[in-house]
Amino acid sequence: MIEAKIAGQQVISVPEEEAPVVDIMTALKESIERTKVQKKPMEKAKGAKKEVAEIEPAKQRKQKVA
Amino acid sequence: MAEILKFPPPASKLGYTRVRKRARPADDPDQLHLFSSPSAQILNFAPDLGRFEQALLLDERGDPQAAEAYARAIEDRDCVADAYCNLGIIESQRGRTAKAFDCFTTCLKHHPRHSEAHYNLGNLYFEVNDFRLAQVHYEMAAEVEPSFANVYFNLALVQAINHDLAAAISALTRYQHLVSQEEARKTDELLHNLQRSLAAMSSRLGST
Repeated sequence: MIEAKIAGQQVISVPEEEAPVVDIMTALKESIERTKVQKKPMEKAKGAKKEVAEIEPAKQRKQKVA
Repeated sequence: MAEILKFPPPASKLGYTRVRKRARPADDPDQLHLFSSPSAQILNFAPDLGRFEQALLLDERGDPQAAEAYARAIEDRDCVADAYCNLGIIESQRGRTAKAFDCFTTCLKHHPRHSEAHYNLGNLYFEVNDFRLAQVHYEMAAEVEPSFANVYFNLALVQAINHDLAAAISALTRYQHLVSQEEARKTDELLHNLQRSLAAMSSRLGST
């Protein structure tokens, strides 16, 4: 740029555009809102779970054997 | 003396009539009939199938009789906790939130460490905007079943809503470790924004 000025050439300076200042918390809020849509749905139980009432007598039986 | 015997009428007029396949109105040989097949219906279950398994089969086929089938499973004491859990999902889908809450809590009475019931209860509290209780139940579900990936996604979401950013980052990172890279990438934006927000808050606290 200096050399161009010495050579008598016209130097046009372009003002730098200011980067948009995005509020971090607003960005987070927007991100949360977008993720809310992707919330994972409910899950079915597949029948492998044993109830407490079913487990307890089995435990007691084991203890008696021991 | 001659006797006149009467012969029965021709056999084709007696007995069953064979059903003929009806021709389709537009029986174009080049036309693919993609949607013409009738939906199947379960007429009989396998004899060794329990009440709960029958209900689950109906449920997975989207059969409206699934709710009644779960109720029968509960009556017969077959996988009571699981039946209540799945009945809760159906009630929730039908918009009966109070009944859904009842089902999940009854499920937890029968099986206090039922991970799906805690998770589904978390989802139900999420739907009624009670994010604190949603977080409690997601945390319980994660404690009971640490490899339950979807729990960490929803947990991170409520923690972010509840401004617990560090915990949300931790849960989301755990989720990313449990799912495929493609699934993990979908949460990169939220994770990045959580980390930026936490860093900004920490620096603000440090400068004061």
